[in-house]
Amino acid sequence: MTDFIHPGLVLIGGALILPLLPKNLRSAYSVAVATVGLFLTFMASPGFYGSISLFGYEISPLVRVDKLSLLFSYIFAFIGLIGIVYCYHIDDWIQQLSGLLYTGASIGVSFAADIFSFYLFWELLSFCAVILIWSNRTKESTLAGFRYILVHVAGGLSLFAGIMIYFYKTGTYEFSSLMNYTGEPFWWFILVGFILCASAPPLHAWLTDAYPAATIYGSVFLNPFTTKAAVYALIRGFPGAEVLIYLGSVMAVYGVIYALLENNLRRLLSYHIVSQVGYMVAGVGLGVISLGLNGSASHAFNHILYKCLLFMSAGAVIYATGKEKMTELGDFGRYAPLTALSFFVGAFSIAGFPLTNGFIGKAPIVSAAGEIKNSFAYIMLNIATCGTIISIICKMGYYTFFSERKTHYPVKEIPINMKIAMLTVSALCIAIGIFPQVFYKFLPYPMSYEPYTLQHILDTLAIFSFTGLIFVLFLKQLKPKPYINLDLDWFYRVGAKSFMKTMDFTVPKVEYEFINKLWQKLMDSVVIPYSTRVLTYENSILNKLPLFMSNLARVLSNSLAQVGTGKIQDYALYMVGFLGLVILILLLF
Amino acid sequence: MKGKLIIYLSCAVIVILHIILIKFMHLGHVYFEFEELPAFGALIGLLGTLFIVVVAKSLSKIITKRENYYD
Repeated sequence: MTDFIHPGLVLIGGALILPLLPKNLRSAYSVAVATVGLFLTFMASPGFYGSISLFGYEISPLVRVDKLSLLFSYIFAFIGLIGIVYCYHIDDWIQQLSGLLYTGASIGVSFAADIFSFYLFWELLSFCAVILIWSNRTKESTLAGFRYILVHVAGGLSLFAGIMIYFYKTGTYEFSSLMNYTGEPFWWFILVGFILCASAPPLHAWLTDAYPAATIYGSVFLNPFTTKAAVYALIRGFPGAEVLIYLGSVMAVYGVIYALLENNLRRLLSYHIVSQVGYMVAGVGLGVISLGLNGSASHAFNHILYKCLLFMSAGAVIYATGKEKMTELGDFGRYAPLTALSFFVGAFSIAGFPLTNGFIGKAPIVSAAGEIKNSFAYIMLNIATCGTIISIICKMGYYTFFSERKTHYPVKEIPINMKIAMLTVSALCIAIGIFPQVFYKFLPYPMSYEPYTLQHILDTLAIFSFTGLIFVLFLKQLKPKPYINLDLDWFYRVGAKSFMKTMDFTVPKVEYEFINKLWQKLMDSVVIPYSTRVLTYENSILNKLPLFMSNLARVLSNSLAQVGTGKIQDYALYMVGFLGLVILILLLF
Repeated sequence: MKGKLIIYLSCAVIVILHIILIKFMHLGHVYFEFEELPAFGALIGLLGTLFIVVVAKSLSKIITKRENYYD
């Protein structure tokens, strides 16, 4: 009996069997594998496990289970199960397989003790993500998938370079805090690899580009794993890196500004991932006190719950109506009250309303900014809360579930498994919000913190009501419009196109005008005269040699032919004469 | 109409509560001096949201394009 079974490997191994099973068993089997994964994660007890010998290096331990990695793997395993339940009714093993793989890989990331296995699981994340994006099987998703993989390959290479230099310089392969090496080149390389996956501007456009292009089930799997694995990696590797405070604060506001302009449901939610991960990144930067790191971890945990809930509700809207733009929806709450309910639980959670898990999740981060007197982060994070309320509760909530119906969309019945998944997560969001201290026990570092103070509750309620006030005043200006908004992916989308156009215009011209002429000159002045000379030499000298040889052979054979008459008596005479000659020589000596 | 009324009322109630409980009864706990302003939460709610709306609206003049822009 081994003392530790890696749930990530069980999920990955279990997923690979999925395509071999008969069609009608696949969904049930996926649920079973995800449940086993969740169970094994709950069974894991803190400690260090495993070792491997590779290229003469003894790498040990491979697996580190502590409170930080456990918190993240609980939520990864749980949301993997929720995602699998959510897509129970579909007949597409590729999505279920990559969902399970994705879950397994992110648990692997959070349990990895050495930086090499960490990197392997990390790369598996992008691989699963791109499969999920491509499973939508549209032209748009294919292109978005390619852009996604290109950006992530770039980030992965930066991370890999950092890891290699780190290993070369320090000789250790352990993945722990890198803050002793602040400012070294590899510190930056690894940081860039991490913040790319955490979707920090200016490296964030892959997220809002690709997530809305996936299937509705794919985006439920996509939103929790990659970015939150990056948050885990930042908490582990860069606690208290000051640059992250400012990066995170800007991210938080950047995301909501774009979200406010967005018309596509899932793209709006994707911009909220950027914004919410901004809180976590800022929390990591504020991690000189454990309140900041705990805040990041707790916010990541709760964010995964309500964000998945929002994506599941948006997915249900898209499933039922086939529309995913607010300009084509409206008044949907009338047809699907349960979806509307779970959406608003998610929306109030993400905005941080008291008694939801968003309130208790991000409160430690904002308090940490207050504790270390960073007014910039404190104000930016509060402004981001205003932006979250107005863009998600007011704009998306009002124009999707209320207001007037803009087009005559069909309304399909939403499958029961989708409803179960949504209601489970909604219940959990509220439960954690009501009992914060039970949840805080699972946080990685010891702290005593009470989110429900009078000041905090009053401030939050004030922000909510006044944001509502602004929304009411600007109702006409904030109406969704059927347009898209350019983001920094413009640089590589349009940039790549114009690069190709510039190439089309310049390269052939340079080739015809310059390289070809130079080539012709070279041919005319060097190659052709030289080969002519070689030809003459060959004709004059070399070609005569075989002629001479053949003439010589003819002369010789002619003289030989005079001896060979062909008559038997002549040959007998030659033989007898020769024999006599030999005997004579023998007798003489 | 009803929703609007609820929002106006709650704004008023919150501001009054905030001023009474925090400003006069000192039941709160503040980190910064600027939080001592009367009803700071309301202020940041108002100004923060205005900031977001104004920035978003002015940014959209540059970045908002028709839907087939990339095709």
